[in-house]
Amino acid sequence: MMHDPLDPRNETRTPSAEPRVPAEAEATDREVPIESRKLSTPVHAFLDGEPVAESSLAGAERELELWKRISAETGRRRRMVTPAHVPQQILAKLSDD
Amino acid sequence: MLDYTSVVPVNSTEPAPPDDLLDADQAVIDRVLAGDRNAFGILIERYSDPLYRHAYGMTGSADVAEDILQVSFIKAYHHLAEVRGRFDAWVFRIVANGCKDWLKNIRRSHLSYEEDDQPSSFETPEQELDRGELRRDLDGALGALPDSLREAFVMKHVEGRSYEEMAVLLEATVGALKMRVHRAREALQKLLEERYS
Repeated sequence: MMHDPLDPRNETRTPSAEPRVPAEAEATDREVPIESRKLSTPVHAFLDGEPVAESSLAGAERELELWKRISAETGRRRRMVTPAHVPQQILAKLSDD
Repeated sequence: MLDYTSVVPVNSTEPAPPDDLLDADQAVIDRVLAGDRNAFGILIERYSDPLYRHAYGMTGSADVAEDILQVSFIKAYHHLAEVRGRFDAWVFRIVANGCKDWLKNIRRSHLSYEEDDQPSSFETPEQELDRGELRRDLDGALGALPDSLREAFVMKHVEGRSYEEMAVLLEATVGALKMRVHRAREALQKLLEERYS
């Protein structure tokens, strides 16, 4: 029989126990080496929304151009809302119980 | 000349609920536990949008995000008596674990992320094509990240949460979360820069 992780009948985690493993430990366990390219501290600070002198970003135009594009896409996703039928479906399923 | 103001900064769109909202949540929970099932709709209405964005950001699929949201809220309803502290943080962890379980399962199945069919607001076919490519590439790059880095990146850049809010929801330190976000950015930079810089 297929195990459906989205089927609550198959649920082994209980909300009262979540998270069972401290998030910090869980994240450390899963960390694996990944390829990356170093970004400067001012670029990270800027992307974190901290005040950064424009002069400290000199030379990072290429990186910031990429992040401008990524930000346009993440900004679009930030405006997403739950499809209208979803809350109704949830309440309907609760009524079926 | 690059317009720096259009890059970020990321402003939090999901501030921590004020105390009166937490009290209001508890009042709704009390009503539901007393038998007013429809009152649960208030909690769904209040918190479904950020949770949907989280599930979408983690899975890259609108359909899967809907499923995870449904299952999570139904589970929350059945365990509502067990809520201690912030309801929003409690239900967030249910959704976040649902996303991680789905990712584990899909990796075992060697399936790829699905495409969503979100409507576009771009004006020209060229812009639409460009946006579609970036969307796919960003989903692919996010899919290559370890779960903990993707989760931190999505919460910071997609959900617009502050590090302090993330620390409460993930029960981690601000410093650890900054490190995860920074690592995620540097991995995405590597994965996407050749094509888009």
